Amino acid sequence: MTSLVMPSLVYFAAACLAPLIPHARARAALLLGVPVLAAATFLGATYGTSHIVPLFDIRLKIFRLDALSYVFALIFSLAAFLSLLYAAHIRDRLEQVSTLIYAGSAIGAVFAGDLVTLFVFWEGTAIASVFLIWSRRTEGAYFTGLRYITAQIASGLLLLIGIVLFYRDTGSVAFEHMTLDSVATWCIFLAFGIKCAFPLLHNWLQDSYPAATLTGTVTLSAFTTKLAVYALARGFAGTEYLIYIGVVMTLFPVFFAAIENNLRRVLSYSLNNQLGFMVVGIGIGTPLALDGTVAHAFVHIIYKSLLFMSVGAVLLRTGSDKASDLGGLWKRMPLTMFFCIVGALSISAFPLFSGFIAKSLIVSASEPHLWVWAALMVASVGVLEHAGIKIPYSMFFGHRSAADAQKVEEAPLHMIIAMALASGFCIAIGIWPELLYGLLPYPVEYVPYTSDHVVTQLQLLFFALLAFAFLMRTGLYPPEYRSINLDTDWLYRRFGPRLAVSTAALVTRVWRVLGRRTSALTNDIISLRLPANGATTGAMVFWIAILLGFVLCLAYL
Amino acid sequence: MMHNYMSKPVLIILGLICAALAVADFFSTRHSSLGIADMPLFYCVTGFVAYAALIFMAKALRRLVSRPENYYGREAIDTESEAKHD
Repeated sequence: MTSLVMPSLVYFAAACLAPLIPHARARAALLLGVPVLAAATFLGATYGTSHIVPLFDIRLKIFRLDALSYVFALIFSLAAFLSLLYAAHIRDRLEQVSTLIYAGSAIGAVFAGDLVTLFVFWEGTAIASVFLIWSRRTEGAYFTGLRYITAQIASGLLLLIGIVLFYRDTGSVAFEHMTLDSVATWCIFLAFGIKCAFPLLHNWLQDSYPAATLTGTVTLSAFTTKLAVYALARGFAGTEYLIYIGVVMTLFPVFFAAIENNLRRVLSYSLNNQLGFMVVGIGIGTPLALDGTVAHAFVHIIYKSLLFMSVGAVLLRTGSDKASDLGGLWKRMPLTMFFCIVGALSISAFPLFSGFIAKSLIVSASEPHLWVWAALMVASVGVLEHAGIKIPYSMFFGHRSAADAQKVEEAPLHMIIAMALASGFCIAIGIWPELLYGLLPYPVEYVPYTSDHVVTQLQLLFFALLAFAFLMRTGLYPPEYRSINLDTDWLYRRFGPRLAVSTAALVTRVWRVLGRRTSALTNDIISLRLPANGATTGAMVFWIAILLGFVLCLAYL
Repeated sequence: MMHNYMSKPVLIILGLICAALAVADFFSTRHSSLGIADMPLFYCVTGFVAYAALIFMAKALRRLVSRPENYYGREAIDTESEAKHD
């Protein structure tokens, strides 16, 4: 099908056009039309449609439509629409253009049928998204953006190395299922892992998402990590390591989220935990588990955006997204509170909300692995803690100083509409799961609403709520105060730089001491002067040895 | 403190819901593939204990990792004023 217009091109064309439109409202209207128009290009197409472009002797499949790419492209389009609607008041052209390129790249990557195309769009998401952080235009955001782009580029580089080696090994760049049996596939796996915020590779997420503009965070939350989930589901379904990685991901962020003061960072830890559920599903790799992962990614994008939107609305109106500054807003922002609670109930997987019908698939698929199942149970309680209770409670109830002190208005209309739409999806999918189940890659025979399942889920959640009430009454619940928490990013933000500085100081010192005592001859060897300077052949031999060693290392790769 | 929202009526309603859910457990027998989960009140106990344990572990973690807000200085957004950035 050669007449096919690639959906990502619609976004890129709009990104070129939009800055030229001087009238702000007209520009916002154009932006809203983009996801709709782009979705129209693939909604009607049949599964199996592909588009191949030859490049030298490689045939690039730049477009591939199947059940998996369809459902991810659909939810990315919806996320792009909701983000742009939520950001309709934004006049900053830089942020608007980067949102378009970011969303377009994510959708392009989902449709990529080969690794080279995937790489191009993979880098597109990295480069475009950093401007959502830099759009905040503060010094802290600048440095945070640098750290963010470093992690993203590292992922891109690993992917590139992996692709080159993979092509050398197999003679193909097709993006299909892979096994972890070579350096090439390990590189690709790790590249996906960085973007998916695997444990120890995760900190770029919690570091950067709270640093973006309040609208930028909503956009960021939807694409990068779920693109990685898609890539893992496509490339590494059934890889056992992913079960262990996923379990760790569901558990450790829960503790950090419980003590974090910045609510957007709480949601970032929560996002990490949600990714864990999806990664477990990919690791299990059965049709039920993979359906669960896709369903969970789908509903997660909606309710996570919704939660970020509600925090963003509060941030817009009060000037803070910190739990210690907020509280008592239910009177001032009742609609935002309502939508936030819908998001909270959805992420906590209350029956009749979208999280319930999606997470159940993964939890059921994990039953053959008892300890995995048990870990997911505990993690589910953790989700209720930080996203179900802490987020709405600390903004709209909690201590009431902030709301009483100043006159706080309800969120602007376009934000309300965006949140209402997202809430509508959360509830509709929760009540009619077949709406979503029909889109999943494998046929679903699962019935989420059995009396047993509903009762046990409610027991789990309500007794956890009871524990919350008990801890609150007894004053054992941890209080919120202004602070930050060290995570593994301390290693490269504090320890690494300090180690480098002290090592440099030590080397300089040793050098000086040595310099005083050694003869002119050894000085010549140490300083390794080039032969042209009239120095020794020893230096030349030394350099050749280094070069040979380097080539030897390359040969072993 | 935050006690004012955990008032008596709220607690009573929550308690009643939990009691009803606990009682419901004795009127149904589950037959899942997981033996332990079929025990009565399994999910009730798990929910309560997991939540409480999680909070206490998080509090212990906080002692270890909590730092002042300006720890990373100007290279982080933590102490920036939020009002101006859109």
